[in-house]
This record gives sequence, structure tokens and C-alpha cells, in this order.
Amino acid sequence: MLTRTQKVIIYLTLSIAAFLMVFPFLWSIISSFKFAHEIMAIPPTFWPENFTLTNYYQVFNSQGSQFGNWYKNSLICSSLVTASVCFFSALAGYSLAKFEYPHKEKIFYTILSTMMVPMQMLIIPWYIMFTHLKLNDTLIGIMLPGLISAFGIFLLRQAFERIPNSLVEAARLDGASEFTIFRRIMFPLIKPSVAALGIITFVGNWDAFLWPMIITDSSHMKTLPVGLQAFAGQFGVEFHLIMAAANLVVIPSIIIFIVFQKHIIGSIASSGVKG
Amino acid sequence: MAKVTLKNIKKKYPKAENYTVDNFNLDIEDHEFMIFVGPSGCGKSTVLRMIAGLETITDGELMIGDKLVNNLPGAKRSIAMVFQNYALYPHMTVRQNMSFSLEMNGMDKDEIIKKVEAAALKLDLGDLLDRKPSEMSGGQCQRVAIGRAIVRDPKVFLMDEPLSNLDAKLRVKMRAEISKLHTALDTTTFIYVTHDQVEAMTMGTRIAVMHAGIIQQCDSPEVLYDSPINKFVAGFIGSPAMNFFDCVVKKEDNGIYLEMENCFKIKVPEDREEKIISYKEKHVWLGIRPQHIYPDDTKDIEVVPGNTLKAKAVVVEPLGSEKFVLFETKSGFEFTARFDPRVSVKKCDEFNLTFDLSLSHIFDSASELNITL
Amino acid sequence: MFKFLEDEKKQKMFWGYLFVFPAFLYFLCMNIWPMLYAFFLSFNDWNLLKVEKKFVFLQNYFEVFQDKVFLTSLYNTFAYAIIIVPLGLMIAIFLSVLVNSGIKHVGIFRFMFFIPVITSSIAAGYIWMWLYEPTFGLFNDILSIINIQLPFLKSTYSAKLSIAAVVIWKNLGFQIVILLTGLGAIPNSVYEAAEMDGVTGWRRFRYITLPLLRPTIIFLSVTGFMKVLQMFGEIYVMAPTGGPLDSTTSVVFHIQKTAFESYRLGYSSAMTFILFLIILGITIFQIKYLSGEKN
Repeated sequence: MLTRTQKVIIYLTLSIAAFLMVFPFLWSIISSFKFAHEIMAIPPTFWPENFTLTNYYQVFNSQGSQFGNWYKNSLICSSLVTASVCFFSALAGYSLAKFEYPHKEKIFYTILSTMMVPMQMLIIPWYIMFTHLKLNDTLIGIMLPGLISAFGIFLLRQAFERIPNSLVEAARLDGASEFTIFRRIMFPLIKPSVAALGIITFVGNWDAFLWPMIITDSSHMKTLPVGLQAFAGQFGVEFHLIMAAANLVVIPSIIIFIVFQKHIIGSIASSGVKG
Repeated sequence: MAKVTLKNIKKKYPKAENYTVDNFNLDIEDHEFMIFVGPSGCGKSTVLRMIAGLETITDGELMIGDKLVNNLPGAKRSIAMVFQNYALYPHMTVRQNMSFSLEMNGMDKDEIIKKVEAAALKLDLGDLLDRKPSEMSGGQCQRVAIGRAIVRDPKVFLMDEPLSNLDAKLRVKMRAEISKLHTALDTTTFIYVTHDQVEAMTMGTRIAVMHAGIIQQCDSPEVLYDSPINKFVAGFIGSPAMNFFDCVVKKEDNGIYLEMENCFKIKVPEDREEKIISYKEKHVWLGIRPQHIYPDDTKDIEVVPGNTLKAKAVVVEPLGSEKFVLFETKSGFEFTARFDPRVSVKKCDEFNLTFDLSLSHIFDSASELNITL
Repeated sequence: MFKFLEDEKKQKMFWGYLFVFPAFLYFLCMNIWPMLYAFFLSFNDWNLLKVEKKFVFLQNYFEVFQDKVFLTSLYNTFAYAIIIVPLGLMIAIFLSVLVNSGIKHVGIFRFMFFIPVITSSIAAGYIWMWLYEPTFGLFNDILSIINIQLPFLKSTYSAKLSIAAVVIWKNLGFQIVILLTGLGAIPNSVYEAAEMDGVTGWRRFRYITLPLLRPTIIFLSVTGFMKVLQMFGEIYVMAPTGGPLDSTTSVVFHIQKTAFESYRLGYSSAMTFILFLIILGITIFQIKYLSGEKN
């Protein structure tokens, strides 16, 4: 058991660490309500002397800003990709876990091996392919490379393997068709793993930068991270605006996280994300 | 008509060297309670699963009623199965579990409700209908699994070691429940798989004893017990198991003897001499059940002088209603005897024992067939 | 239905193939085919602006190894990896053990550590860039109290470290959550046995906790290296020009520039392949070495 002193030291250390984790956001939020000149003042102020929302206003209404569109694009792309990944990974994972057919192992290892291929290798061919198919600057172009995930298949196959085969057999004897078995019995039973996969996929997609940047040209088609970067690039050193924009991207994530946190951390931790 | 006929059924897995089930022939009658029993790996579950349609039949014909069902999916064979681990759908309530198969077969919603309620009544599941499997005990889950099966009015009811996951007391209770169920469902044939010979003996009308994929003997419990066809069946049925003594047949002037070196030399009863005489000077197995071994001062049977052996008690198990004693001969051979509880036995006691040979069996050393039948 | 479906076994095989087919087809088109195409590309000199392709076999690869910027970026990337992964893991293990030591409020700490993980790395990158601003950023403001001013992103010495710090900060929470799961999987009975053997404190950590955590640590190390070797976003944001004297450029950063600003697709494909082989090699090396390691 821990002594009083030990407990105090531990709490102190952890509190300092936790503070270091979140202070950039705290500072960013506080400062975003200050006027530009106050932000860059030396010596710096803590609380805003003159509270203002002008930075945020400018973010939305400045030339070159398409914040609304960027949010919309990110939302559509991340949601659709997450749904697709969850569904097709479950389908493939189920097949690999509960069915027997020739070359099954080869198919699985082929899919698994794609996890080893770094995205950068594929970006150039993708760009060439998509340009041919005239998918530049489209939402489909943004989403296509992420629609199915090998990691997802791996994770959900593992989840399905933990379900006893007798459940599938009982369902077959009950007269259910194969797809009904998948839809009504197997898929519902791996909900926690699907939730974890969904969260990981959504967050990963929301933050995706390299590919969306390459495939989009027009400002209104960009996703949030790409738009933010282009927008900030336009404004050079105007940190008060860049920072307000960054906040607008970060705050919703934090709020969603606060609301769903038990779910999110629980799912990721408990779905057995081990190598 | 709910009879099941298996003709020359064989099963071989693609990567296996041998047949898991070889030339299985059995006619199961309408409304029988047929039990497949045998040690692990003997193929009993495989046969059951072939009847259920969960395994393909490599060779042979399977008929349910008079219909050839080899290529018919399990769901269409008018069968229902109870799995060892219940296989209840964890995310559904008992009611939904029981309704599922009926729903899959397109039954009308009102009909389904009626059937589920009727089955629940039969198995006393009324209070549990809205519970989920995780909220119930093993025994309750097992009853639900049975309920899920009978709600389909199957012709054949298959059970794959349904009681192995339950504790001893519950098992005894459920055995009676299942037997009562069999009586109640008078148009259904029961096929039951177990490795527990006590379960087999207490529940079945006929028992098929299996070993290495082959039926050794299929008969009623009494016949299996009294007239085992070979050493395997003799040693498998009955608890504690029959003792087997490796003896040599000796012909002497005044009769035929079975001699086990340094142990005993026992005179064979006259009515059996005829069957044994051809085994002169050959090895045979003498099979004696524990309850047919007595101390030589017993009043329960007629003691033939000379038909005794000396042994030392090594382990004594007083069970109240009887006493089991593990004996060891001078040459180190161990065997079990069942004594009346009033006989006083202590560890390391030396005893003179005698056998009731009229109830013994003698088996051919090579073929292991029962010579004395 | 089709005749062959009457055989139940074949029917199940059909469904098995059907369910896995979309995924398999997808990977064929989006992964395997592009990879082969990229491989083929790497042997060509193809500048998008010039239209025609010229087969040059291994010339691209030779050029890569003479490309000063590439070599610098390779050095930088390795430097990043060596700083970020071990250091980050050590901090994560340290904090995880503290959190797991039996205090209350575990949830709150875990929650706060995880916040950086779910925020956009681009947005966070800008926030940090502003913190690092030499003239009016928070860090130098605070440091001015003790009369120190650091150049952070503006100097070749400190630019890499500054970016590395951000990457460590961003991923700490994820590593801590995974480590906490690993720590949680160690049964209490193991600790109780250790206590009876008189093994406590640092020795308990070194001889019991750490070895039992090894699979988790290997997992985090392997995936950590894979991620850092492919670093791009943070650098693009905080050092868009490649940093002072290219000191922050990572390999992927250089690849992206060559492919989409200089439009030399064949050449950059060769670079991606070299990167792939490096990642593969390091991953295999890690799995072999770390699995056989004693400590």
C-alpha cells in the first residue's frame, strides 16, 4: 500500500503531466478571445483585457475561408468511410473466421500484408489512377482509398473467432440464411469491437491530411485539416486567426470526447488492440 | 414416422489418415431413446452431427422417416439439436431465442407466440421468458436450449452431451427431466450422445457403445451389462469398471483351470468347460465385476475351495451404502472389489478373496470377444 | 439456384468467398495493383510536365542515394524516430505505472492524457507553432522571466526537438491507454507472490512488471516506429519550407515535394520503395530483437 507521501508525490506528478497535456488548448482558447495586438503583446497578458469574438468572425468570413464546406466535407467523408470500414471489415472478418474454403489462408495473409505497405507508396499511383478516372477534387476521390481497412478485418476476425462455432451451427439449424446469420446474430455480438474500430477509423479519417491534400484542388472541396492548412498558409503569420481556426477544429472533438469518453477509451482498451 | 436409418455411414476428414466413423449401421425405431456412448474421440459426436447435417457424410445413406436426407440441409430435416454449451444467442431474450427458428421458417407471429408459450409451459420457463442468457444459471440455460428445440416440433431430437457442463446434483435432476420429456413427446425420437455411461444406462432404451468409429454393441442397458459382446464393452459399462485378469487356460484331470501366476488357480464351472476347452494353454482375459469378488468367509455365495487368491488392501473407499477396496496381489496387479459396508477393512489388511464365477466373463486374448456368451 | 449449391459444403464455401470478395477485390485494386504500378514507375523517369516516360531502370535508385536532400531527410527521419519512440515510450510507461499504482481518479487522468490524441494533428500543430513563436509565443514569454530565449522552430539545432516534442505529446495518451490495458492484464496474484518473495519497488518493476509488459511494449514500439518513419503532417504545418537548412524535412515530406511540386513521379516512386524497405527492415529487426531480448 502507498504511504501518504508517496500518494502526494504521485498525484502531483500526474497532475503536472495532465496539465502539460491540455494546457496548449487552454491557452489557445483563452487567447482566441483577445485582439490581435494583445495576443502579440510583450509582456503577455493572461486573461483577455478586451474580450472579443472578432477572430472567430474573421475565420468564417475571410476571403479564402470555406469553413462551413470544410466541416461538411470532413463530416461526410469520415462518416461514410467509417460505416464502410465497419461493414466490409465485419463481412470479411466473419468469412475468414467462420468459413472454410480453399486458399482462405492465402487470402487472409494477402490482406494482412497490405498493412505493411506505407501509404506514401500508393499515393502516386492513386493520383495517376484517379486523375484518369476524373475523380480529382471529388468526395469520392477523398474517400476511396480508405473504404476498407486491413486492420479492421484483422481486428474483427479476431472478435468473431471468440464466438463459439455452435452459435453459427444452431442458427443454421434454425433455418436462417447465411446473410441473416451475419446480420442478426454474428454482427450484433461483436458490437464492442465494431465500436472501437469505428472510433479509431473516424478519428484517423478526420485527421487525414496527406491524401486529401493531394486529391483536392478547389477550396470548397477540401476537408478540415487541408482547409485549415491552406487557410493558415494564406494568412502567413496572422496567428490570431490561425489559432481561432485551429480551435474551431479542436473544440468539437474535445466536446464529443468528453461526452463519449467512457465508451471511447473503454472500447479501444478492451477490444484487445494488441499486436 | 420418426425413425432414423443409418446405412454404411462413413466419415473421413480430408487430411486424416483413418476413417473417423467406419461402416456405421443402425436402425433407430420410432420414439426410441437411442444413446451413443463411448470414450472421447470414438466418433459419437461425429455421427450425431452427420444426422444433424453439420458434417458431410463421406459415404453411406442417411434416412429420416423414409426420406434420403444426405444432401438436405439440416434445417430441412425435421430435426432439432441441443448443444453442449447450449448455444443460446447471447444478445436475445429467452423468448426471442425460442422464436427465432419459427421466424426463420416464416411462421405467423401469433402462431409463434402460441408455440413459444406452450413450450415454455412444458419446461417451466414462464418466468424466464424476458431474461437474457447471461442472467440465467446453467440449468436454466439448458432448459431454454431444450425449449428452443422442442418449439419446432421436430421428428428427431438430437442432444450432444447436454449435461456435461452442469454440476453433479443438477445433472441427476436434469436426467429425470429429459426422460420425462421423452415420455411426453411421444412422436419424437431422441438421439443422445454422452461419454458418461451412467447417463447412458439410466436414460436410454437402447445404447450404442462406440469405439474408434465403430459400433461395438447396440442393445438395451441390461443386455449390455449382463452380456457384453467384447472386452471393450465389458470394461466400459458398469461403474466401477470390470476387473480383467490375464490368465492361462490349463487342462487338468479333474477339470479346467484358469491360472494367473503367483495369484490364483481357479476351477472353471462345468457348464462353461465346453466353451473354454479349445483355449488350452492359451492366454485369456477373465472379467470379474467388483461386486462379484468376496472375502472367502462370505456367506453370500457358495465358496469353492481352492478358488481363492490372496491380496492386500491398498485403498479403502467407504461410501456408506457399500465399500470399494483397491486390492493388490503379490505380483503387483491391482483390482477393485465392492464389499458390503459391514465388512471391516483397513489399509494393508491381508485378505483371502473368492470370485463368483457364474457371473464372470472370459474373453479371447487376441480378438477380445466374449467367449462365454 | 445453381446445381452445385445443392451440396451443403459447397454452398457454405460460396458464401465464404462471397463475404470476403469485396474486401479482397478492393485490396487488389487499391493496394496490390498500385504497389506493382509504383514499382514499375520507379524504374522510369517520368516528369508529369513532360508527358513521355523513359525507362531508366535503376538510375532513379542511384540518384536517390546521391540526393543530398533525401539523405538529409533520411537522417532527420531516423533522428526523429530515435528521439520520439524510446523517449515517448519511457514517459508513457512511467506515467502508466503511476496511474496504475492504486490511486483513485484513474479515469480523470486517463481522460486528460488522451485528449491530445483525438484532436486534429494539423490544428494542434498550429497551436504549438504559436506557442513556439520566438517573439510572442507563450514559451519564450515564460522563459523571459529567467532571461532565456530559445529559437525553437527557427534554428537547426532546436527545430527537430521542438517538432519531436509535439509528436510525443500527441501520442502519449494512446500509448498510456494501451499500457494501462497491459498492466491491467497482470493478475494481482503475481504481485502478491512477489510481495511474499520480498520483491518490491524498483526491483518489482524491473523483474516482474516490465517483462510481463513486453508484448505491449513491442507492439507500441513497432507501431510507433512505423508511424514516425512516415511522419508528414506535423512537419508540413510547423516547417512548411523544410525547416532551417532542411533540418526538419522528413523522408515523406521530401517525397511529397518531389512528386507533387517537382512532378518527378518516377523518381519519387523510387524513394517510396526505399522508404518501404527501410520500414520493413526496421520492423522485422525490432520484432526479432525485442522478442529475444532479456530486459
